[in-house]
Amino acid sequence: MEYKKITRDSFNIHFIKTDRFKAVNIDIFFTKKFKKEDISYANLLCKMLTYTSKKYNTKNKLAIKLEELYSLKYGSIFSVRGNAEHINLGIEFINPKYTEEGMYKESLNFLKEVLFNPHIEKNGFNHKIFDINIENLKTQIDTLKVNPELFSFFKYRSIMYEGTPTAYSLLGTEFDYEKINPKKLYNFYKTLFKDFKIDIIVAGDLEEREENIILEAIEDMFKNIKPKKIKEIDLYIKYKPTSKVKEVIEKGEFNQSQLYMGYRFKDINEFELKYVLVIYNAILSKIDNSVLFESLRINNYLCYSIDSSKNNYNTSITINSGINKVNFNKAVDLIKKSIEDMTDIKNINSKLNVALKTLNTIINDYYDDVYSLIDYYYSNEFEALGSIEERREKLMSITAEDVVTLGTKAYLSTIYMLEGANE
Amino acid sequence: MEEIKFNNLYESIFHEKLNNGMDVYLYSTNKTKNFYITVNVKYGAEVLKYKRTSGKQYNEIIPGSAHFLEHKIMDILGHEENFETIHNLGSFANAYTSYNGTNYNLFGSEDIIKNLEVLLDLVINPKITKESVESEKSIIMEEIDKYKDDIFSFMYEQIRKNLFFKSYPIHNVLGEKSDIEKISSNSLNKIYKDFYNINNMFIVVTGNFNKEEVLRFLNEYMDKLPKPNKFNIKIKREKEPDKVKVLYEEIKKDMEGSKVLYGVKIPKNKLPKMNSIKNNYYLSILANSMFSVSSPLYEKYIEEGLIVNLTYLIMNFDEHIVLLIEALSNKPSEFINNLQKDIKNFKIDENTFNRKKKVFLSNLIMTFEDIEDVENLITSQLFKYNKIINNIYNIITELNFEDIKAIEKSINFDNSSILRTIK
Repeated sequence: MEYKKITRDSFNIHFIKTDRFKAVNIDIFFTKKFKKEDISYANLLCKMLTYTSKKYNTKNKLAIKLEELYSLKYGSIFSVRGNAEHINLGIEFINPKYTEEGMYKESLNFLKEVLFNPHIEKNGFNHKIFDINIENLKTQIDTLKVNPELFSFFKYRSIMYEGTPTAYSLLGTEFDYEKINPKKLYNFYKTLFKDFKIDIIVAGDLEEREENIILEAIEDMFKNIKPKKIKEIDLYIKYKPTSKVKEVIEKGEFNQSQLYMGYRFKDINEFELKYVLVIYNAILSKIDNSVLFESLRINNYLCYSIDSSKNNYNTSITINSGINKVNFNKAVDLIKKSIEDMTDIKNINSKLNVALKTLNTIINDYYDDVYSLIDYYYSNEFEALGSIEERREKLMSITAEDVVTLGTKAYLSTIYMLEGANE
Repeated sequence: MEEIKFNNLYESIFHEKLNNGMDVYLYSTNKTKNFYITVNVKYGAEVLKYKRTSGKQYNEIIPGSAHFLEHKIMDILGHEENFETIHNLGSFANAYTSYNGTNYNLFGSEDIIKNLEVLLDLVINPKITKESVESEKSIIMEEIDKYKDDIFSFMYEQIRKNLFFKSYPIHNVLGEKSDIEKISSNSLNKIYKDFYNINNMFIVVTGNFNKEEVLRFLNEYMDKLPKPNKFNIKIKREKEPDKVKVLYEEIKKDMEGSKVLYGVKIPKNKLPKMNSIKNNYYLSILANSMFSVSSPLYEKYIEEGLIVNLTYLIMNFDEHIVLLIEALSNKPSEFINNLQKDIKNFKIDENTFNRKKKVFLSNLIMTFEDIEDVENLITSQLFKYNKIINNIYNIITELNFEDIKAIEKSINFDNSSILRTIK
């Protein structure tokens, strides 16, 4: 695998050359500092840009074009990463060496069409398509109520991360969508090329000739774009440690209860955040004999699955599991005990080797998953992660003492349970 | 070793029959650093009554038993040493049960031989005790609750019960809580003895490994096992009527939009007589032409505000195929009325047919992108057809328009069941 970055006035283009994949991926990332009001605009814009364009002015025509391009995959998504927000728009097409030579040009023309020729009429997005997408989004938001896993996840985040970008549901709210109209949305679209940092990541089995075809096409697409100089974004969210634990329990018409416990870390340093936290989380829940799995499932039969996820930008860990409501107190106590066990050097020593080997396998998988590769190099643009092999080396150097030291910095911040009323 | 070439895809897998008769399928590639090993049993939740051919009486199997057995075989308790080895190798162990079969798998990157040995040890030497079966029940019940809380899996389960009278799809793979109560260590041990037989199992290995080394080890391992008893199993299948059991049902859910499932029960013997694989492709192309985003029906329903989304699924059960159409609708009654008329009047055109062939070819090419997908291709073909279909590329390219018209004509779309949510 070879990586190179080319910088132009209006964008950076990153080439990941690898013969691992039969497809070519081109992903465009628009990044800027998070603004709450952008959630509904950005989310709706992603829907609009993937629904129609000026040339493919119905969802049907656009879908037929995708099929003609040997089932080209096209999507767009809005996400939040710490203090930054980004809109990602990408295509994935089968390497033309397996289909037809002309498919490079055809696929790039398609990308240009959908990004630079949106379905605009009278200085605003097409009304009808706008209304359809607004309705769809409102229905999606409403459907959350019957999905206990997603509903509880968003609710927990709103409590745990209150006052930060992470607290908001990325679907937006019905109320926010009421405030948008086709013209305002078009104005927001235009800001993509002025207010956002633009990174384009290309991954695939590309020779110099193919790289040049793509580079020239992208340069042509962005030739009139002049974005403002974007200030460096600090992705990490700052917190003041507090001993107050937020505890919220509410009921829902479900069979199973969803339990969440959020822990933060005080005085964490950069090395701990970037590397030790990965190993800590692996020992806590990712490895097969993780501390949580052994305690709650194997020794106490309380749950089918238990997981924890780290959030680097909030320096936190979230533990969640589906349990029976009668086991709430026991599950909470066992999770607290598990966090205590993460400071026991003997315990960590017995699992460290497993965690390192498991992570080694996961890192290998980076090379097999194009989306992970693209995400890694995009993150690298903001976080200086180094190469994948440099990251592997740092992770493999972590000791049990490092994990225990981090463990002593963990403190409970939030307990949330969506209690299944039908249990 | 027999090489099985996948025509036009420039890919091959290798097949070998071990000394003891077990089939092994290998896909070796150096494009990845990882490997994926699976031990498969051609026994799944579809078996509800069976006997050894020499036996007189049929044995009844409690629904949920195949899945329960899978849990016990992959249980850490009683297999602490095996799992310690898996953990120390940094591998991931998992398993799943479907109607057609049961799959035990390991994903790793270090010492494939040790991984193979430990996975085989787990499957071949289970420890199913009374105590461990009783303790596992609460975990499986939590798993059942998790699926029941998911509106989509709950509705899929319910529509199968409405489409069928007696055949196995009326039962979930997991079983009901009342079934789980009845399962005992005796019943599981009996099933194990009858179905986990070398002649009823196969191994698949994909990823980065040396084929000769793997085969040498497998033969050595199998040679040490006692000679398997040779016997055949006769499975009794219920004669399922062609008509549907329940025409229409409403489920109460607190959501604004309505989730609609429309299932068409298609007797296989009413379809034109041709190769079943071709039949499946024709049905898939037909359903895709009718209900994917590029279909005129999708466009019409969106234009008229009848749906938020629309998708479909094709499921194969013994003598019947089910075409399941799924929609989220804000005008469910109107949508259902339209669908009932439109589905009968739909006529596929030749351009669409040829475009869809491109889509299916593209999906096939992409299968070989990922070692888990390759394993899934092999395993699903063996579970479904008991053989490897290596000429899929040719099958797709040779599909012809006349045949799909004949299939289209043969389906009675009125033989359907409707399930929807109401507020």
